[in-house]
Amino acid sequence: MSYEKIEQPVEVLVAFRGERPEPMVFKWGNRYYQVQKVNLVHAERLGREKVYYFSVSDEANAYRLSFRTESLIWRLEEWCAFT
Amino acid sequence: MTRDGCACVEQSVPSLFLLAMPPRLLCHIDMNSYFASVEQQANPHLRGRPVGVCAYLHRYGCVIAASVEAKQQGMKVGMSMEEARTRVPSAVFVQNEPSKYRATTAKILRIFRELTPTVEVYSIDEAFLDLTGWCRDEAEAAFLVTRVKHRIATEVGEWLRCSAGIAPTRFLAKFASDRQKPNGLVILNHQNLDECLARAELEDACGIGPRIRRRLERLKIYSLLDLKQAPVGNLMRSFGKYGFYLWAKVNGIECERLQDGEPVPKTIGHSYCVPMSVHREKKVAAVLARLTERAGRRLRRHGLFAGAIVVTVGLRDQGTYRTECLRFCEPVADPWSLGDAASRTLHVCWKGEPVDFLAVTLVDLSRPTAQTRLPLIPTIASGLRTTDRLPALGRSLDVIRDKYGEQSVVFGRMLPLLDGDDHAADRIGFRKVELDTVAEVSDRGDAEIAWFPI
Repeated sequence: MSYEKIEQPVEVLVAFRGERPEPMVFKWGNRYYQVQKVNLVHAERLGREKVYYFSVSDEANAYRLSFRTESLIWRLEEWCAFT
Repeated sequence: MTRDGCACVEQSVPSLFLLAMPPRLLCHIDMNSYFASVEQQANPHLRGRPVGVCAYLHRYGCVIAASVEAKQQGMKVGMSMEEARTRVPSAVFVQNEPSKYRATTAKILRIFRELTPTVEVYSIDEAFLDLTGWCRDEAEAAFLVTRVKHRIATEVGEWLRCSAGIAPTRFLAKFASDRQKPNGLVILNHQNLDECLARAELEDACGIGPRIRRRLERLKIYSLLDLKQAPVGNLMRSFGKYGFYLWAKVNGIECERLQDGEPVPKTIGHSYCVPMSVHREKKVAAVLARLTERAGRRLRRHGLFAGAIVVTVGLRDQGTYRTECLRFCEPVADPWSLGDAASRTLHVCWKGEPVDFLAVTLVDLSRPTAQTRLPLIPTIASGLRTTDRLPALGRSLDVIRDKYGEQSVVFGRMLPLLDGDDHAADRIGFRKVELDTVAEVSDRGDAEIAWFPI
């Protein structure tokens, strides 16, 4: 298993389906990654700021995206792949 | 009265007792391999593989949860990572992530609370639900629990499974949920109780460990059915009051009510298995300060004061522990008093040897009273301590940290930890989860994605 902490800002395209947001595509570096499934969503507080974590995956990899509610920044936190 | 006669009278007690009581329907739900299942839910590439969730990703780090696949291959909770890897070479190990488990528990509890308002959160992965009055009989309760399982799978995560037990008492409900794992549902009533107890070992019951088992075996009690049929007087002569509780539990007599609120903690503490680098880099006092500060934050969040502080140090070379207790002249909660006391206590029991374990526990907790001990000789320094200034300053610090994060204000003694290491980071507790930490996410307005379907 390859695992890497990334912690870099990414551009994310999000769909609001009903009342819930779902990351659809994100751009990391110069590549676009299509999210196939949102597996788990959880949140934690860092002081007043609330951070939502989206554990998403495609066929080959799993990623964790975070969204910070104070600064409105999306980041790619982790990347994990099985070889 | 003969011994047989005595036993006969005692045997008639539970049936009379139960006839007099309205039937209750209690349900115990236990999430299977919880932390590992949450990790497998978050990362689908871990599914179907043996996964161990570790306290620390270090060869001596303890496995705190193992996936169903890992358990089938021999991995057990409590093993060191090194031992678990030897047992299951194909296992994947991941570091635990408390916020993930707490947020998932909050979502699951919200489903439970839609069924009944009486929910006792027994630990982060198990809860008791009082379905009395909400279901007509066990069959209806079983239908409800099946729906809960389906909702957990669809609304929280399809990889999360739970075992449930339905019975007239807490003890029997927990016993029933342990009978069928994973993903089981067992109903225990007075018709099938004897059959189920006869098949169980003594240690299968919550509250019976190796020592109690040995004592019971000396009384010729070898199974839970033997315990049920034993004369209660004999048990009380051997075990005292606990003997009655043991007997009552297996006879389906409820001895304790469901605690649907948050119980007031008796002690608050934090501990840390110290890596060698902490000692090398002379960060022992700083780590203890961080542990004390975190315990202090929880103390103040509960609105409690500590009457004493206990510091435990594990000595690496000697393999022993040293514990010192310092009692305050009056209960305190402010970070300065707690930090000073912890630091002084540490230097009483530790003379600079390499340590492998640090723990701080705040004990003798009490609610604040209006009484204040005034200094006999008022000086500026003592005046500062005995008036409301330090507690008020502590509260202000808490407000700042609530707003800007834990690292927004740090004490000088914690400065060695500011270089980015995560010594004594947040850890998950197994028992008596504090509801405010579980509900931390849910109660502050994340309703917009709380029902996030997968």
